Amino acid sequence: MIETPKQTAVDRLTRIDELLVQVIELLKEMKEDRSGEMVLEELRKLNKYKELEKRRWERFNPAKDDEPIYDWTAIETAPGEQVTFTYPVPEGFIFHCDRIQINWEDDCTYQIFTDSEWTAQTDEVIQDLGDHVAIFRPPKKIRAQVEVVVVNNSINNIIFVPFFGGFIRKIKRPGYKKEESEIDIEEEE
Amino acid sequence: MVKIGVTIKDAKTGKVLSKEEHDKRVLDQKKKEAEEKKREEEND
Repeated sequence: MIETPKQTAVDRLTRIDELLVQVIELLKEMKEDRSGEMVLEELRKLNKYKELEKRRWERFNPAKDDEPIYDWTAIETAPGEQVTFTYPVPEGFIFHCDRIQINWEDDCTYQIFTDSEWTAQTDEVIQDLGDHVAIFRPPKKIRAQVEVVVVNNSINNIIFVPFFGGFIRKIKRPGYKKEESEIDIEEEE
Repeated sequence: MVKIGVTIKDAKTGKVLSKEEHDKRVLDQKKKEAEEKKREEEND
């Protein structure tokens, strides 16, 4: 079956749903933990953005060879710990990072590094769209890796759940002939 | 799916913590919080 851009967008949304369900199930197991409950509540709020996401993807119409990225992880941290989440870009690809999303906690500090360059810091680039959800929008395409560095300055354990969203695209080689669908997309952009 | 790497350090010293050291810190903090909660309940 030939995959159309619209189907790709639908697939991405299905994957977001699956990931959110996984995260929520994971955190339900931690329901006796207060900080886990807080994160669970934030994840419920993420669902509100699903429709916005759907419209955005439909407008964007990514090329059929793009591989969507909606990956997450979760880890509980003790006070005084610094966690570095590293998202490595596969060799031969560029990561078009739409956003990095992580639960926002007071008294904690956040930093973003793209390809080892400092990109964003707490209170400077964070767009707090939800009550407690921080969204970073890296300003460039990422070739090697993106790192999120968080310090738990709280007096309690905190579970951090970062999401990495966007897509990876193969790096074009010299002499590469573009397909018609890709040319159409670039013209639209 | 790409595997997201996680490195945990002590924020003050910058020392990388092993899984065992990290797990112990988390567990100790949980115990501490449980004791505080119990003490608060007793005081109430």
